Amino acid sequence: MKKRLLSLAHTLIVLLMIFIAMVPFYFLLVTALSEKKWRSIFVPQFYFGGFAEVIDKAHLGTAFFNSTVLTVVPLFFIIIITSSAGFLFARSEKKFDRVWYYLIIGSMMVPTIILSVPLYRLMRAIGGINTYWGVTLLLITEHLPFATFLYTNFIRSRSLELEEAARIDGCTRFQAFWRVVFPTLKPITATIVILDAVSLWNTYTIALLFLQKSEMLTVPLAISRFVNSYGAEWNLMAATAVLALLPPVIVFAAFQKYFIKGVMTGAVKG
Amino acid sequence: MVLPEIILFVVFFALPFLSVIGMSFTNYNGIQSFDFVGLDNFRRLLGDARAMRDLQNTLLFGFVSALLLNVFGLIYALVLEKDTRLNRLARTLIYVPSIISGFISGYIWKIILTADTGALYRVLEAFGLLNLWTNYLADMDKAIWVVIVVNLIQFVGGTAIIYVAGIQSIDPELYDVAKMDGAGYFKTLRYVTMPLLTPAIRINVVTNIIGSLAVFDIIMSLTGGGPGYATESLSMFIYRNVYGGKTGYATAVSVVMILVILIPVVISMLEMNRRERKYE
Repeated sequence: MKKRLLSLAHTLIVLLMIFIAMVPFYFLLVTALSEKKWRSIFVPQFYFGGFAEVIDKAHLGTAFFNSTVLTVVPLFFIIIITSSAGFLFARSEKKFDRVWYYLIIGSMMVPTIILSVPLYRLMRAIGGINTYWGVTLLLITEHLPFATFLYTNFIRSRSLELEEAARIDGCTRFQAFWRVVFPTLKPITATIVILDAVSLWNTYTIALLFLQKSEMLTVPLAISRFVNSYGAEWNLMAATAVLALLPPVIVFAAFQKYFIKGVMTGAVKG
Repeated sequence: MVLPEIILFVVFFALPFLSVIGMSFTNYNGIQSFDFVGLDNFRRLLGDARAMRDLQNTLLFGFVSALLLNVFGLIYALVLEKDTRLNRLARTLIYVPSIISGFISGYIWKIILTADTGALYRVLEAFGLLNLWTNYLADMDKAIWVVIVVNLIQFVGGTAIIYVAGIQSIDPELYDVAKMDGAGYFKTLRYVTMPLLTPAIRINVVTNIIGSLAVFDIIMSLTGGGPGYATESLSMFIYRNVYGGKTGYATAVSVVMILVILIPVVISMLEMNRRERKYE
């Protein structure tokens, strides 16, 4: 009896947790699917006009394109750069490399907003404001420490056999890494791709500081500009929010196992 | 092979970082040349009611959030640790809010909490409970607590998942031993689970302290720092002074923010390392 009561209580608590996490999305959907003058907060009206209106008015097409570019391109370079650096950090016994490693990992403590004044001067000097390449460089730098940390730890836990065999066969260290080691890093690469893709898509601070031209806006910027110019039209605001959160939610739904696994391995090994 | 990483790190992190510290002792205004002014910016900060309010908001938000995230994250994890179907489903669903940007999350809650037309208002209305309604977002004292709760709901799932991983990595034999010794649930929790959870506690405490003290996007979209400056954070203060004539001053605020993050992070890391050694 006591056991059954406990298990019932457990189930109720779990359901409450799910409810707390999900209820904001439900209200968001109901708001997004209602006309300007809405009838009920509990039952959606299934009015899709709001979506069409915001896609047009908020220039969401351009914003989705910009956000996609500024997710995919930095991600590609993050993987290339941090996997090879992680390999070196994991295998090198030089003190000098260790110092760089700890400096880079330590930079995780400093959020980008703190550097905004000198970064703004730097970006102005090199003409990087309102450009894909300028923002890409900053996004790569911001994501270096976490990915480097994961790659270095992962490679450290691997044996040297493969690379040594490749070296004996006459590969340079560079060739040994890309031909032999990199393909074996798939699990951790998948983790980094998934976590960083979402984080890049959600980028706000760097985009806010360095993208001002309307044709360069990313999704969050387009939304805030839309809200500022059209005021509190809640159903439209909700519709933009639904569209903006769709890509990460779809990626999450498709790869949820890897997400949870990735977060877990990243954490416990640290 | 490591060169691209080091070049990027030096150009876009290390040099800007050093120049923030250097600039904080100058009267740089974004345009003209500047002079060394010693600690003037920091003295000015002490007399600046808005900046001091932002500092206070940042500390309150940062420490309460980090604490609540870890306490609730741990409770969630203890409830969801076993691999049943319901638990696995719950772990997935509670993680969903953390994959959405804080910026969007802030907007979602603004839509829910806004007066007269917001979902909360209408739910209370439907149940005839409007006497319970308060416009929390417009309340000078309560608004920051709203932001804390919204932030908690968004990130508790991520924290909980890491604790679940930590709990599951504990050798089950230890629990059998504890049981044979007659230890109850709470004793086992205190003497077996908690000590062995130190690595997970460390990563969660450190990342939550950094994340919460640097809070930016969720406040930008939820309250914009208002009402007045009641929910403005140091990061928002810096952002709002990047372009104006107060850039030297803004870098001094940045230096304060670096210390605000660094000191508690270093303290908690040392404490966790001490604990780990103690239980080894």
